Amino acid sequence: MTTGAGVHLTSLSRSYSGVAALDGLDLLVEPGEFVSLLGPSGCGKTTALRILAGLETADSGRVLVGGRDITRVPANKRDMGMVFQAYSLFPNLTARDNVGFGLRLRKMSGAEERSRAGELLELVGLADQADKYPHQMSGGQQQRVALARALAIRQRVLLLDETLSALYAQVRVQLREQIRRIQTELAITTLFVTHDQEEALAISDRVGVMSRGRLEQLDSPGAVYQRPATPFVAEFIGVTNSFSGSVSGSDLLLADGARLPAAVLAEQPDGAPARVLVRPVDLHVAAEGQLAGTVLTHSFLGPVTRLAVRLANEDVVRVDVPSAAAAASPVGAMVRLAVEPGSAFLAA
Amino acid sequence: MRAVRYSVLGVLGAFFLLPLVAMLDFSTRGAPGGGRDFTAWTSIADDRALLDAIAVSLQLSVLTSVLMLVLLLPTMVWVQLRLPKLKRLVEFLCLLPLVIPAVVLVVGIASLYSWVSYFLGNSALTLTFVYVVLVLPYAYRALESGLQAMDLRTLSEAARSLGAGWGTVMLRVVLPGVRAAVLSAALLTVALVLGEFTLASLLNFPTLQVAINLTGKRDAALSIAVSLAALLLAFGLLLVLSQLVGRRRTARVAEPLAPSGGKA
Repeated sequence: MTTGAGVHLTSLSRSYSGVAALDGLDLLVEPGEFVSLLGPSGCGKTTALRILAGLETADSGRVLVGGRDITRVPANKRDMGMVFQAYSLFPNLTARDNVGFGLRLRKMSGAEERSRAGELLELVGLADQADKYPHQMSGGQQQRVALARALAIRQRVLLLDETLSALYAQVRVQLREQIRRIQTELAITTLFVTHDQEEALAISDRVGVMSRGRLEQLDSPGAVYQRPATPFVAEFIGVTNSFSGSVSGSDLLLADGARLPAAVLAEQPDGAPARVLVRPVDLHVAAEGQLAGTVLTHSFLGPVTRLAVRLANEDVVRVDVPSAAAAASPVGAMVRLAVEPGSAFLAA
Repeated sequence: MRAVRYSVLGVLGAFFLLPLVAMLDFSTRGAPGGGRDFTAWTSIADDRALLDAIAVSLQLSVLTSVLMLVLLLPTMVWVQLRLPKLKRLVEFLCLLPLVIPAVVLVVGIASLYSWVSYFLGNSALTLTFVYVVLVLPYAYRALESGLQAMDLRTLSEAARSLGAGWGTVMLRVVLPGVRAAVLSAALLTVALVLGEFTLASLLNFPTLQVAINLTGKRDAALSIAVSLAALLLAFGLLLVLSQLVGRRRTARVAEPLAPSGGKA
């Protein structure tokens, strides 16, 4: 059983040609925890991961793993397993030899190396592919071998850099579940960089949302989704509808006179302009709803159907209704929409 | 269509083979009215100066290939990984010998070679240095195509994260990945060094081509026999290389892809 080490990034900064990729990033990952870094392109998540791996150097700040400062330690002395977005298996080696690569560098005997490599290939379900070369394997299999190779060296931190991005949807889901199962089993501290929200929310203990080189929020997937700490997180995570108007008590007064309950506005001065966000799942079709509109389209999403509704002010909002009840609001029907109390977020 | 193909092949084959057949004919022509005479071929082994020149050229081939690879491959890898902005400059410098005539080159380096001789002696093997410069354009192109064909950055970073130092990355990741390109570069180097005459002659070093030239003045048949042998040696090397590379490619194509699992 491997035990993960805690990771602490403190005030990490890095800029490229004067543009800041990381701007004083602070991140604390507990031993054995699975943390995903999520954010738009250029937010600095990959830079943070590469600095932790030793593949980039920070302009300032420190990297601590297990309490030890490794800021100046070269990549090959850090003992961190990394799985890349691009297929990174050595093309001239078989799956078994790829997994054994790091073990050979650690002077493990041939028999031990074969046994350990076999063990790891078994763990990722590829024991029968041990003698295959990378070009004889599918993309999903190659990434699983890369995962086995990263785990083989019994490192205490596992780094995943958009590992699933190049795979087909079905394989992605299978592989992410496998990664999570193995990570839990081995208790390896894992940092996963992804731009896929669903992926990050599905398998992480905590999700860090990054923007412009800083961490906007680091919390459990549920908290990030339901209680976004900043307007950026509220807009970035999930799908939202945006409403603009002016503050009236704890309501948002829209231009057409409709009132939207928004407790987040209670502290704002009356009459001030404001914008709030409401998720599709927090809007309901209800006879006594505050908003009126016409159903434009239905999008079937499995358990729910997403309606696009054009409001009186011409804005189009999205509303999730149970698929079984979607027929009650056919395309072209006039509907009224109610907002779930306490569900509105303040936008930037 | 097939007839056209064979015709083209036949014309090309004749274009390349006829001079070789003519050389063989000339070097084995006996007295008028007599049969074939292989004296020129058998006397290669008796000509001490010629054998020495062959040995020097072969040593130069090996030394130039090794020095070229040791200098150029790590430089190209380093530039690609760490200094990509310098890539154009390095490429320009490497291709420069292509546009400088050998005669001009020798005028430039003649004075330099007096220093080389002073420090390293007057051995013909010191030609290695200038030959490395001479083969740069060809070797650069061959290695560049090999490096472009592999994801150098990801593979080297993967190896580094697994604990490999830069030496291990070069020997166990880069070198196997560009094996065919290295073989191509080495073959081009060997062919170029075995066939180089101008620099060796003007700097007064007894290499194979210089010896062939001198031999030709006293025994034309012998010089033609040696030339043909040198050409056949280069062809043989090319054949071995294409077999090595071809076998590797065939193995890759022939193996079926494992079913399912995502983009391959």
